Amino acid sequence: MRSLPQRRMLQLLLAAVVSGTSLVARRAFAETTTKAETTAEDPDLEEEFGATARVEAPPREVTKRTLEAKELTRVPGTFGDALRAVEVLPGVTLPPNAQQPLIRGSNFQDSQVFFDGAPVPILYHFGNFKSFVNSRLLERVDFYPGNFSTRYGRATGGVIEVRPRDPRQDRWGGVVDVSLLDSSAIVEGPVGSRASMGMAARRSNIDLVFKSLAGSADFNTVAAPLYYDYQYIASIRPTDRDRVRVMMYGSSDRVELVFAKPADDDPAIRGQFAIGTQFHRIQSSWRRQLSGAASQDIQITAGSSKFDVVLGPNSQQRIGVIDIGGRAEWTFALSSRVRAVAGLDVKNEFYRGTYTGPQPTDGEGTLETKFGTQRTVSAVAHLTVAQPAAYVELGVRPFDALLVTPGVRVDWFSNLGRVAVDPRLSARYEVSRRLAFKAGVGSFSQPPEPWQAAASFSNPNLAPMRAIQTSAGFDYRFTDTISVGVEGFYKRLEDRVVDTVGGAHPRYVNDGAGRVWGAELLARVAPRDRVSGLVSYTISRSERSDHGGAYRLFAYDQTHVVAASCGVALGRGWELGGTFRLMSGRPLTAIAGRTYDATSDLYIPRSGPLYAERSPVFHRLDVRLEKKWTFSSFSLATYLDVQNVYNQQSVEGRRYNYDYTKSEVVAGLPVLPSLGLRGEL
Amino acid sequence: MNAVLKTAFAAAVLTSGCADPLTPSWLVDRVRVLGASVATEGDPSRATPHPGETAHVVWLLGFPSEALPSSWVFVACREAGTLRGAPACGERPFARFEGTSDAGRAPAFDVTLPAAFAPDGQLLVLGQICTSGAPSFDEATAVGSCRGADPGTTVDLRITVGSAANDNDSPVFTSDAFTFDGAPWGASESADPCADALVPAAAPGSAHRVEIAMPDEAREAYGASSRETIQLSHLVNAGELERQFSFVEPSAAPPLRVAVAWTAPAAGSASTPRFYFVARDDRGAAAWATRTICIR
Repeated sequence: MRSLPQRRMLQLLLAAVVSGTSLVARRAFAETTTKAETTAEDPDLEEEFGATARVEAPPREVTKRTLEAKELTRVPGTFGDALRAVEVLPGVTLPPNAQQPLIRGSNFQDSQVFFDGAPVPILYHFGNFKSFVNSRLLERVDFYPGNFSTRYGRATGGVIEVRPRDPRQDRWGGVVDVSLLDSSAIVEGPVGSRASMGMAARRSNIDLVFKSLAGSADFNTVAAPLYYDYQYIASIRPTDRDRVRVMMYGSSDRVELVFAKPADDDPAIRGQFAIGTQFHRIQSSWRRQLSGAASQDIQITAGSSKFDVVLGPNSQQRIGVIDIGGRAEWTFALSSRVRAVAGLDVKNEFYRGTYTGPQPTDGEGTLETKFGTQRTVSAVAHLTVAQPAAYVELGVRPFDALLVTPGVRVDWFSNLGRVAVDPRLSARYEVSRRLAFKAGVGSFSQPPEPWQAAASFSNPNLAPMRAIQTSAGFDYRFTDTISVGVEGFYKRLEDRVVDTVGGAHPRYVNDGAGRVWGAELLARVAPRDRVSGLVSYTISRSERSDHGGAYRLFAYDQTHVVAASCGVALGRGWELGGTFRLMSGRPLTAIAGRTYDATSDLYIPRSGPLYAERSPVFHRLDVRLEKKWTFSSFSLATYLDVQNVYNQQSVEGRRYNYDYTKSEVVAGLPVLPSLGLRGEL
Repeated sequence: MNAVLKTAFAAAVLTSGCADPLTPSWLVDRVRVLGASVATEGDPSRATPHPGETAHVVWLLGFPSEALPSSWVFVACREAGTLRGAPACGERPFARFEGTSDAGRAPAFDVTLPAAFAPDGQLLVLGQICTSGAPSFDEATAVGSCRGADPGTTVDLRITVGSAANDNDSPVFTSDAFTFDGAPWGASESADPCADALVPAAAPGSAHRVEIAMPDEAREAYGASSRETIQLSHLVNAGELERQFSFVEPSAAPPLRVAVAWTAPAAGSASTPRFYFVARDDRGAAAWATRTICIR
């Protein structure tokens, strides 16, 4: 999460920015790429520009994996959530309490999730069961595990692009979905012949049963856990060449408890515990086909976020953020063999608030210690961070089978006073219609978190982190629906921001390095017929070095990750699906000793070699069963989504006694069923 | 940062109310170090010695039954200013102390602060306390050990270097600070607590209420508008205590009392229940008291 800043003069609001999603200058270019009438990268464009066949253009990225609408809500074990569904793709894991998915051995904050081109500040609701957006409003999710286009920046890991769909234009309809976890509704339909709109809202049901499920004399519930989110999408096509989309969306999570007594293992955890996070966004985009060979895409986003956390009397965070950003992108077909894309991508954040608590850390590379043994730091957040960027990318086909995509992105980070220049290159060679080889290399820069570089709180001399990513592989299509892809990758991390030893001044330094290498396999059956599914496998090793020391494992390194997911339409409205995951255990750090801290009356552990041990292998089976009844004007469905069917007791970590001489495992979630009812008009 | 707080929050929620299958922290089932107090020479109530002054440092040990003799080694240095993890020396220690203490006598030593120490800084004491075998302590790694069966305890203590602006007095337990089921509970030095009228009696397995009262003056005001928080640790070597910690928050209104439930040990328990109470303010000062119970 982004917060904790420090005092600074409020700078003038940077001008609203322009930006856009990618419109591909298609026809001339398309003729040389797929020998079809169109090669729209975005399926929307088929409709806009009169395509008669759907043949996807080769991606600008080395690896682009797409989950389509049909798949997004049906992956078992995800409770129908699209942003949980990416867990089945290679290169992705989602540990408990993750802020967002871990991609190819990068840390959480090193990857970015975009909603129609705009970064999302808070991805998941409590518990990571559900993300901020109703999955039934989505057209697809594009996942770029590395070597992504110059269109994306400020990240050294991967990118997930969540693509909303246009509301339906045939007639008014809706969906009502009620499950044990939450309730949601969607209403959508046409407004005249050139516009449509849709609205969705969701509210959790946990608060209705929280007291009876989690009631305890140990705490009073001031506000039971409650989340909600909403989305509004209006799509207008004023001319055949233009499409305007206006979206409003937001998300909120709140819980407040008061603990009756201090925790024995950490008395700093006592009293009031409250989390209130929310964000609200308005986002508008305008796509225009300028000519047969040029297009323009402009997008502006504005919104606010709040991150209020109270954790006992010594840890309080109240941060508000105003976000204003945008994109502008122009695409030109310079010739039948050369396409050019140029764009601007601006992100501005204005922080206000206060923070008091332990020194913030991402927890990677250090042994977790009790709050009561950590000194408290305080900061007043008056911080402005402007991050404009410009990028250009060419798509060159020297001959029909080869697409070479060179590009460069230039980012400026106002709070660092630094510029980052990132050249990138990818190539795709289509040996036949079935077989294509691909490779890429590129530089990727990422600014430190704003609070890490705030002048009076930490280190204003930090530089952006940098990654050099390389990857190569092939795609093979057995049929139109059955395909396999294999990629190998190597990623080198430079100038990684790490904590100073013990958090001493200046608290954060660019004194870390890293390396990640591995291979991924994805075999899938696209959801066209009765059967769909995929099998993914990742083998990788992610290592880090701190302060010039020897390389060690990354805190979330998992050598083997296997996922197999399938769904079968059984007929008569029955659908059955299952997802099985098998993965190496996560690294653990042994306790080498302890010191009794007489000042706090607590023990402070002394770390053994970092991440030298591993928790046991993790495996889990999730199953989803749905029965749908279709009537003349509506349909009704009931479904059962069961996570961890055979109640495997996975090891999430270790919990220690007061002096770290004894420990027990912390088990993951037990079998977790969710029963739901859905009606569709 | 939000992730850190959220994780801690989740951990707090998940562990709250759970019976701890691991050794409870309030149980003195082996020799344990329970705290340290600092008294300035010439002004013993003050826990913040000034540069050039001498501080008397005493360590409180808790025993599961009879008190044992101890041996110890300590070093004193200027603290490095770290924010988390075990505190570390910012420079080489300027003093080293070694000694032994007879059974019933606490490890203690006097340290004179260098005159060059900056007021409001932190003096750090690191060391090792053993009840079996001679102690050793490696200044470079801050790791200690004991040459005996008892692994001993590696300890640290941060002492705030005082100035006129930040002097801090130690909290105190008044003579009537403790009650047992509402009755006064005095200290006893008697070898047989059941023979001492000051010591309350409890039946085996019976449930009781222990109350600790703190004077309002224990929470000193400091800075522009701050007031101390008093952290009370209560431990026992027998029976079952509700929890280890209680707090007197700055906002608490007098009278300042905390209560904790205790269940007496079952019949046949060999140990005489001994309670250890330690009060700490949040500026590094501490005081303690012990009480016993007669089981019959």
